[in-house]
Formats: sequence, structure tokens, C-alpha cells
Amino acid sequence: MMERLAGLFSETLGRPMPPLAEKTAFADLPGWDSVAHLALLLAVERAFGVAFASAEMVSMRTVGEMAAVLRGKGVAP
Amino acid sequence: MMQRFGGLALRGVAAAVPETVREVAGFAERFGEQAVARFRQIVGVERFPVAPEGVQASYYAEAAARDLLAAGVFRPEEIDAVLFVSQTPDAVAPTTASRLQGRLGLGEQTLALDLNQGCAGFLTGLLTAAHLLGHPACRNVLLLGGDTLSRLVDPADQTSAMLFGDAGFAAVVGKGGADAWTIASASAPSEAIALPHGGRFQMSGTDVFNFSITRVPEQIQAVLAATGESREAIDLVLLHQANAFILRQIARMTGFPEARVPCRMAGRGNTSVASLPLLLCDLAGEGMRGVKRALLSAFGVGLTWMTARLNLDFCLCRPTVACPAPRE
Repeated sequence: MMERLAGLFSETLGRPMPPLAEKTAFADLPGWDSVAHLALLLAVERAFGVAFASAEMVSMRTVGEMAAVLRGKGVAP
Repeated sequence: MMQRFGGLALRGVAAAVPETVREVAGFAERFGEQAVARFRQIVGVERFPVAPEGVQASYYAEAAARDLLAAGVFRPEEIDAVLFVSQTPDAVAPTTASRLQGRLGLGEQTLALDLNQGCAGFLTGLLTAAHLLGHPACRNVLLLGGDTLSRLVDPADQTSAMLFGDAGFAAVVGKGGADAWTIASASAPSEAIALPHGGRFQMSGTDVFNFSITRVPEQIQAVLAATGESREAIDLVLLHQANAFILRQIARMTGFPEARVPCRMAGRGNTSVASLPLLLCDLAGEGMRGVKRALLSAFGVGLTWMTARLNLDFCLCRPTVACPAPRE
């Protein structure tokens, strides 16, 4: 999952990503801003075929938190 | 706070925008092709109206009021209070409402009052009008407003430089409606959106997003619970045109189909206090008919969020007017 997320982030933010760790905060990703954050959420929803609830969107600030939400929706680790 | 009012009617709504527009694609040189493409996809803005230098929001509010006058929605002598809602009034003093009272030929007995409010300002104005109309002496309230935020954004800030359009509106609220209005209002003090004296507009996009997609759906559900209505009973949900992604998420969280939650940001951007009346007038220009039961929700600076359940049975919604710059 992490590899797929890294690919999506790189594509959405338009630049290579550093190695992603569970603790990597979205706000620390190169090229991140608030609109890019929404684009990331949309890209992940589409790629994994899921829909995030508002509470989930608000709760995800790191890559690990996003991975946990995805796992909770049945996405394989 | 949830309030109910009986016997009110929104008689008419008009909106006016500058004729000049700024294209979002034109920001590619400043922010890069990909950032601009991402903004267009997520926020949903393609272009937005921009007031010429020196032209105030009151110019567009006045144009909208004159459109309602010409359509016969009100006569100056029938107005007992005029409100002007804005973050960009003409001056600190006198009030812009007083200036518009004079320009529109309203009588000396008219109460003229400015309200400082942003994106939730139209509903703040309706709520204030509802209270004024609770007194027998007040027959009709002319609710005016508008903002010219496009000239106050930081040109280097991607989030706001491509977002804010300029517009003004006018609405007449009177008595005589058969149904009750329900208006919920809430505020959580925050500097997430701020406009310091003499400074530039500041916004923490992530904080505003998180607030919008959680508190607004909760409030919409609370209003429906208070009125005892189902989602199917609502003809149209009019949301403050903040960001297309946010609108879709609120629709999703409240269970309304997107077809009943119109987004018209493509040609307008976020017009702050004017966004809801402008949306109504844009829909009127597209031929909207037969909308009676409406839910309006607006949210922004404060942070403030408000939701109103009103009927539009008696409301004449005028197509939006595009105004040329005033002659010298």
C-alpha cells in the first residue's frame, strides 16, 4: 500500500516523493498545500475505490493514519 | 442557537457582478501549470468577476437593488430598514448602509445599519431582518451586501489568489409568508480566516476545510430534525460556494444528491457574502422554476456557520446583472 500511496502522491504533487514512513505528515510532503491535500484525498479515493467520511478526512494527517483508515475499509496492507 | 420565525417572506433577490473577469488559467505562469490544473479540478473555479480599481462592493449592491426596484419588488417608501453586510464597506464611517439609503432615495425614518460578516453574511442579514420584522413598525427590510476581496488577497498565495470573485446583492424581506423560517447559527472563535486592518486576506485552507465538512453537515441535519422534514421534502440545498470539493463532501455527508446541491463556482469563484444570493440569481438566469422548499447553508470567517430553512414561494429571483465600470 505504501508504494502505491507514494506513486499517487508523486503523481498528484507533480514531483518525486521522499521515502514515506508511517509518521510522515502530509504537510511535510514537497509541494503540499491545502488544495493539494484535497487532490490527494480525491486521488486516493479513486485509486482504492473508497469514500472517506468527513471524520476520516479530518483525522488523516500522516501517511500512517491514512493507511489505517484504508485498512479499515478493507484495503490490503 | 436555533430560531423559528413565522409570517416572513423573502420577496426578491438580485445580484450584480463586475463585467470584467479574471481567468484562472492565466495564473499558470505565476503558480505553474500543474498547480493551476489541480486548483481548477478541486476548487472548481475557471474564472471570476473582478471589480475595477476604486469600485466598491456597494456599487454592485446598489445595481442589484435598482434591479429589484425596476422589477417592482419594492418601493423606497416601503422600506423601514436597510442593512449592508460586508467585509469591505466603503469606509469605516459613515456606514455604507447610510450611503446606500441616500443613493436609493430611502426615507429619513429608515434604520441604516452595517453588519461585518463574510461568507455567512447573507444568512446573518436574513436573521437580523427577521428580528427587525418582529416589530410591528418594521414592514420591509432591504438587505444589501457585497465584497471586493479579489483586491485584498496576497497575489503570491495560491489558495486565495485564484479563489475570490467580487459581487453584490440585494434582497427584500417582508411579512406575509404562510410558513415558518428556521435559522440555526453557530460560531467558534478562530483566526483561521482573517483580514487585518490595512493587510492582506489570510486563510488556513486546511482548518477551514476541516471545519466546513464536519460542522456544516451536523447543522444541516439538526435543522432538518428541528423541522421534522425528510431530505426528500427539500427541493434545493444552496451551499455557500466555497470550494467544489467541500460542496460535494457536504452533499455526500448529508445524503443529498449532487443534482439538488448546485455548484456554480466555475464562472464566479467564491464571492464571500454574495455567494448565496448570486447562486440563486445564476440559477434564475438558467431558468430555475418551481423551487419552493430551500435549505441554505453558509460558513466561513468567524468561524461562523448558519443554516436556514425557508420557502421561496413569494421570492422573485432576478437573473444576475453584469455591470460595466462606472463612468468617470
